[in-house]
Amino acid sequence: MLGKLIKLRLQSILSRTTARRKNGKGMLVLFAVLMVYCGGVFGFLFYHMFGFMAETIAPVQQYHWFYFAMIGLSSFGISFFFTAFTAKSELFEATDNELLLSMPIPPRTILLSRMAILLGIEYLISLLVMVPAGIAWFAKAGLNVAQLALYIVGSVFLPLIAASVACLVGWLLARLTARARNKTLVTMIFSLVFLAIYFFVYFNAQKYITLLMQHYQSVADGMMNWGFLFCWYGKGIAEPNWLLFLLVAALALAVFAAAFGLLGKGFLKVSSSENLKKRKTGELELRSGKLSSALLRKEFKRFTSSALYMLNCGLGLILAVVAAVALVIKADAVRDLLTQVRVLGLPLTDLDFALILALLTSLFCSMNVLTAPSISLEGKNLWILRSSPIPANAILAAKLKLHVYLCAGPTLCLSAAAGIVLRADVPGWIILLLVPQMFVLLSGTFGLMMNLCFPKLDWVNEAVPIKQSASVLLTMLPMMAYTAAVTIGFVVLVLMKQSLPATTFLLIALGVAVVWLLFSVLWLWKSGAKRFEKL
Amino acid sequence: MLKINDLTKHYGEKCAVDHLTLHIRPGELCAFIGHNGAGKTTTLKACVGILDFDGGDIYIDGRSVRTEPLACKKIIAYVPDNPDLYEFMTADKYLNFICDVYGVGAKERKERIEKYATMLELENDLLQPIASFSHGMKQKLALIAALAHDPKLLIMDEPFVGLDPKASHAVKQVMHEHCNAGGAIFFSTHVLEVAEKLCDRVAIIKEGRLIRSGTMEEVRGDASLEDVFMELEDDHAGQTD
Repeated sequence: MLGKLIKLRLQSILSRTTARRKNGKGMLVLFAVLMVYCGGVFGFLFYHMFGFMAETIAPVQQYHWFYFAMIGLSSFGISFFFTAFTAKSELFEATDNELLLSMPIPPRTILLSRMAILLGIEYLISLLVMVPAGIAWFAKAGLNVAQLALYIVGSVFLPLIAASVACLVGWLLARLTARARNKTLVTMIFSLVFLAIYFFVYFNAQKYITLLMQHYQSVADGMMNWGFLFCWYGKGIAEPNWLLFLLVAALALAVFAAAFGLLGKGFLKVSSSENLKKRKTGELELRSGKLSSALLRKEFKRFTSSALYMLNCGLGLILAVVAAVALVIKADAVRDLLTQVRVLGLPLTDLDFALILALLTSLFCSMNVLTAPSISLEGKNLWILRSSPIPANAILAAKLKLHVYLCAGPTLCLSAAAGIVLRADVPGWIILLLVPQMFVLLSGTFGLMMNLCFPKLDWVNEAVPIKQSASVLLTMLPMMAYTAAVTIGFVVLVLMKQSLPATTFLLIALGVAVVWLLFSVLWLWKSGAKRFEKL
Repeated sequence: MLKINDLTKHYGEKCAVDHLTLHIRPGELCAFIGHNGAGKTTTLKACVGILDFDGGDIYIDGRSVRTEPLACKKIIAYVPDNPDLYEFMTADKYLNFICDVYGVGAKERKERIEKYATMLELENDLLQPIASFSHGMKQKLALIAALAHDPKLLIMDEPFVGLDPKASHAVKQVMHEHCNAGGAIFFSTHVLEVAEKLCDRVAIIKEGRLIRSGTMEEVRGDASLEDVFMELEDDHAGQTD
């Protein structure tokens, strides 16, 4: 039965990639190519990271174990980080949980099949670390047969611990979100925290690895106190010490068994707790309001009810505020950079700097595509709007208003931060405040236009219109390509000291954006409503 | 109240509705019956203005659905066969939204919502998220939303599917009340017994064509509606063959 359940789950995962598509095999090949590409990129990254560590540690024989301990620690950390949320959805939110639980299958067997799938994912992720790290060590210091054997066997046992911890964290997340009144908000907060940790590690990894290698002997000496398992693992391979290694293997198996035992007790309760939410009580409040306000409230509720929608289409809102704060904090460094540019003798005026920063701010705006999936998201609910006496223009206006209202504030923050850093004069301030706002309007109208041209209403999972629809892609790409092309064109123009003044070039580029905006607005005005009525 | 004149609708090569003409007067309760794929839902959706049609016209209270869609939508309400409602809202928020759309005053909306929610036994669930509702509860909520703005014409697609017997009885009561107050109802159903007991008019559609319509007495004569329906189906099948 366990084998059948695992096979079923694997088929379900694969069907997410190939099902409901005419060219299923093609998609599978594309998916495989993408996976190989990602594996190659990560492999290259980890090879260089561990190559640097191997180069530092290899000459000191007594600390060879520390290198392997670091491999174990990195493999554990990375695979846990990338599977904690997967554990929550795989174990406790699988759509077929109720169906399987209604059959004469022990809940523990269902749980074990889910944990096995998760363990498989852990193995794949840990291989991304262990293979390049092993090659790097082999290239710098070499490995004997016993060490190689232990290293390979170790790659079987260590992911058991990562899978166990991920399952426990997944269980905790499932419990917390099931009990939370606002599940979307809790999911959002967890996602943002994980994203912040990811960005922090990504941007600081090199710095901390360099620091670690400078002081690795003292870190290694203290590691026994907080990471004895990884110490045993490292020493087991480096010495090689079979006893220590067996200890690690036994501990990994024990942790997995304990996690399985613990989760098995509450599996039925947690996986069915979705339907056991507390009932809201209170007085029925009915307040009348205007049609435009009702439509806007509905759009806002739609946006805030979906963590997927908020994270994928509105992440730029948070990033804009973060960037604004970072810009103000790092104001002196940015000013130094601008001074250096001036010292280089580049023919740039204050107005040019304002235009550059305004365009970079606009780049952030192009990441917010709230309107691009908004019509597709109506999906099966479209009949409500279509059968109601609401002019199509009012529906489109509500969708555009939500975009503008939500994006204008954070964009204004970033513009203000840029103005403060630049110590802009009046024309500079005008440019910094107006240009990004124009791009807010442009991304909103253009996104709506693209969604009317490429609607996707027959979706089952809302990830389809949000993440996989042509309208989102065709909104984001031209916006980003335009901003990038103007920025690159500008830099090339300045560096090559062409006859066309930088200011003129930037104003022409802005003119193009204005024409683009006018075209989008006119198209929506003339054809948007008709298109909507034909949906 | 509802005049369907020569309505024609094609889906590609297939003719879903073929020159259909049907008139329903105020106070009338008309059942629309036919086998699966006969063209019932297409006709109802065209009446509501959510499906464009190729020929003919539809008038609601003298106004064309084609040329004055908003004016028509203001006086009608639609309950689809599968009520996909906004699951990100609670029931009260949804009803409030619909009332805002139709411009229903605060006092009227409270009265009507409380009245129909009590009748359909949904009054204790109005603060709950729609996502937690069963099919039947969604059906009831869609009906309350439809009645909240006091429409002149109520168009319903299979309104009894998924309802428990008590709710079904309540819906029939609501339908009678609505027609007694001068409103009209045009609804599709597969349950011939319900149509027979509930309605004063009936229209039978097959392969997009209206094969019989009139008062219940005119259509069934001394036989049961089921017998007439089966006979007409067979006759028509013979003619087609």
